[in-house]
Amino acid sequence: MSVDLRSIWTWLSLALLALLVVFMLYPVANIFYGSFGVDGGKGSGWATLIGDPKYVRAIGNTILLGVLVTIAALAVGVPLAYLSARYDFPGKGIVSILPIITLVTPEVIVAQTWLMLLGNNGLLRRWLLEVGVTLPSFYGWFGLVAAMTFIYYTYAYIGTLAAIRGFDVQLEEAAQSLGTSPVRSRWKVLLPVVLPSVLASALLIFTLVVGNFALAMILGGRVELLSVMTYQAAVSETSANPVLQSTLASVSTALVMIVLFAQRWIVSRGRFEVTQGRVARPARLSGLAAGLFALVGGAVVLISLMPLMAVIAGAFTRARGPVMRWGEWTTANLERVLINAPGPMVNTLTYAAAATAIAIVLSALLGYLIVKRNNALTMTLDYLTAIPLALSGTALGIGLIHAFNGGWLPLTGTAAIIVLAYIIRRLPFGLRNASSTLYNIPRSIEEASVSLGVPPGRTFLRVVLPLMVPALAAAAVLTWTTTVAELSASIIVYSGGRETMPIQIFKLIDSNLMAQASAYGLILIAVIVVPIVVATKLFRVDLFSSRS
Amino acid sequence: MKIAIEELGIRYDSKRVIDGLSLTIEPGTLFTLLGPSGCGKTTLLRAIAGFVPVESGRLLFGANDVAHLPAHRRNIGMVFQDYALFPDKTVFDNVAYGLRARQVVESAITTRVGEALERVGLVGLDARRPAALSGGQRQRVALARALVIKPDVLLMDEPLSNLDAKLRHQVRATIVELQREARITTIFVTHDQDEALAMSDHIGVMNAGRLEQVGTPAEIYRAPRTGYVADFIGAANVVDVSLATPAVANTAVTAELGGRPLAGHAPQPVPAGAAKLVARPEDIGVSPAVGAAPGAITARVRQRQYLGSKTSYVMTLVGGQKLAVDCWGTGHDSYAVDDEVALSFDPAKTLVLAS
Repeated sequence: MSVDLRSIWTWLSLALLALLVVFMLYPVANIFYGSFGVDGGKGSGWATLIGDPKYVRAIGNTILLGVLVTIAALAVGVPLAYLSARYDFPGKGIVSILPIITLVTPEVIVAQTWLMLLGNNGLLRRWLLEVGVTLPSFYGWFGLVAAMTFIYYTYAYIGTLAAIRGFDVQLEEAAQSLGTSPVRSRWKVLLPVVLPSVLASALLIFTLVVGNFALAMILGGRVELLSVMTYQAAVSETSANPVLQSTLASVSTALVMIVLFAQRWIVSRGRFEVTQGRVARPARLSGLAAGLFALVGGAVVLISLMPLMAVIAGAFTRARGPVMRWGEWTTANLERVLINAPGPMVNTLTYAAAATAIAIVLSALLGYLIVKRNNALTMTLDYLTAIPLALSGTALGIGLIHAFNGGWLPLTGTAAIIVLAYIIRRLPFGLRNASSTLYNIPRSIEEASVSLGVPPGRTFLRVVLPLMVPALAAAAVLTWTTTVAELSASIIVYSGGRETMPIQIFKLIDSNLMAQASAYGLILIAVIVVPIVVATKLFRVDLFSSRS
Repeated sequence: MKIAIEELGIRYDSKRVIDGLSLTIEPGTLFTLLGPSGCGKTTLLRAIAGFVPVESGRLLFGANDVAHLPAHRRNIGMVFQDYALFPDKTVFDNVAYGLRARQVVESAITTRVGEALERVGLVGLDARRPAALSGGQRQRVALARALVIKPDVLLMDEPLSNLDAKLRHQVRATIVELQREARITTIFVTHDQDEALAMSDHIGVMNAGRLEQVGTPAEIYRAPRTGYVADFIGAANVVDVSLATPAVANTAVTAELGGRPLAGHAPQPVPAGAAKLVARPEDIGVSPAVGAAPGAITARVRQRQYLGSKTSYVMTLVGGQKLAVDCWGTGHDSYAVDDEVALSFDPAKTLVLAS
């Protein structure tokens, strides 16, 4: 379809295009452009980068961490998915709530609770020491890999589960009827169909590790990592170095982009048309096997739930400075957070509410234009909205402060730049949620409305929008839950007095004030969980309909 | 309202799919655009509705050129193949939708929607949502919704193709009845020739973006102007013949089929040489070869399908050409496979066309 200048959609597309160019493309372009600037007479940022072994090591470490965590997460997630898709065992219901657990637990809280349990003065570490077991230091590789694995295995779990569930068992039966043994046929037939999904989740996990800020920063110890160095280059007050910041941000963006392209290629190649046949019925297990499966599933769930339990315990535990008096209960931490210092809470709620509202309006409009008004212009919009997928929060934060620091649109130091960071980070996901139902709305429904005398714009509001409401509600809930927990971009763009809860928690962890951090953490989790419960139970919103 | 299409040009995906098409549809009649998928009939209908931009030419509703008027200002009623009911709205709200857009007062809406639903035979289903209706009921709601706004033109895009055979006949009757009653100019798109013959005042047979022939159902069936039309309407035999001398329009001609002379009728001029002979299966007579007149065209029975009221045969001519022949009446099943038979052609019903 060609671009029609008389259509209101054309004008809306142009307006949105302008917005995306100014607030999304411009900051990203700024990062790349900035990296070629001259760094204190030593040549461009790239020269500094290559010349300093510290940065080269950081790139190597980041890739190594990505590979290690990806392998570990697959090792946990894929078997778990296979077990829960093909077998029934005691406690399987609990395994299925796994995606919700990682969704509701902000990474900064995960890092904090691991420290409370296994840090230098951690609860578990001290118990184990009493019985004579000495654990290696949790700061560094051990902590990084352990903590990240138990967050990111869910992506492997969800991706693989969907693929196995969508698999037609008749293929397996066909293979057996042709003379292959059950084990061999499963290996030969199931694996090639599921493999693309496994690889796609592997690459997703890799990009998440590369971009990870909270865990890398809090648990990294002496391990040099790209995201940590980028952050330090951005906030260091003695040597604020815009060129180096841009260069480091460019490296991580390029790394993620390469992986994303690889992922897209694998997904597009691996898209077998599995005609929906018969889905495998889970086999019921009993005896030893059932016990074993339940044990494995239970252990994974327990470790996933640990942050939640630790944060609840921590929030109600008396503390004197950094010393936790475990076993002495108090509400003083929560009182302080709610009454004496409610600023971070109020900020979080305000910014996230604004970001969610704007992101949903944008998602609805962009989703509609991209899916329903397919032309060159809306295709450009489609590509632009994918940009944030390649940006780590840290890189985005640096792009935003460089782009809007003074100049024609000074946003640095305002609340707007935090809201902007939230919107940009979540837009691709909100868009995907919002547009999921659009594919199921036939063009004829809109045409029916137009033929009955309602102009296209009003047709959208009266006919299409009401049908998008369930998807938009899911998008709103998911945008809200992720923006209130956002740390890596907001910590770079925020200014004094505009701390959000994750930023405050991060600072408190830095000062080793775990009880107060837990109190904020508990409120943060409540702010995430309550909307999810209300949406799914009261309004029956299906949060994950667009993922499978 | 009279519809006049003048030299219409439509470009779709940078390809000219309709080029200089002209057509007049008389007020109050039902006009069917008939053709195979991809012939441009739906594109033409959607251009008339305003969903496909017109590149050149005029599109007149009465005296107004609506070629460049937005769809929502054309006052059309449209019925879609997939019903296109608003899934979140009740039957009543679906039908009331166009009236509300026209800011009709709510009391008048209640009356008019009630009347419309009664006319399509859907009383008492006002509060249902589309998901709770059968396919036939959905199509009736769609029809009521299009008619209740009293459109100038009713456009129907294969409205019956998603229904099963029995329902199709019922809804077909409802459409014709309502259209006659309201005297509303209607354009109906279909690829089903039975539907076209049964419902239309006039049929336009489309092929590759052009109108091959426009006429009444009887004209299209009895006097197809091209082999394409003959082939598309009814299971006609289109056979290669040759002509010794050119034929003038509307005259009797003698063609040569497999070395034997055959009398036919040329509705248009036909040049000498290769030509096409069109004969309907039911217009070919069959008799035993034994005792047939000398010079008669003979054939051998190849296939035989006994269908109760008639028997359908496939015959092979001496030259190897195949003919479908239907026999009716007493003894219609009296020939067996491999029997030698003589065929007779009614000169008035045997058409000779330019190839």
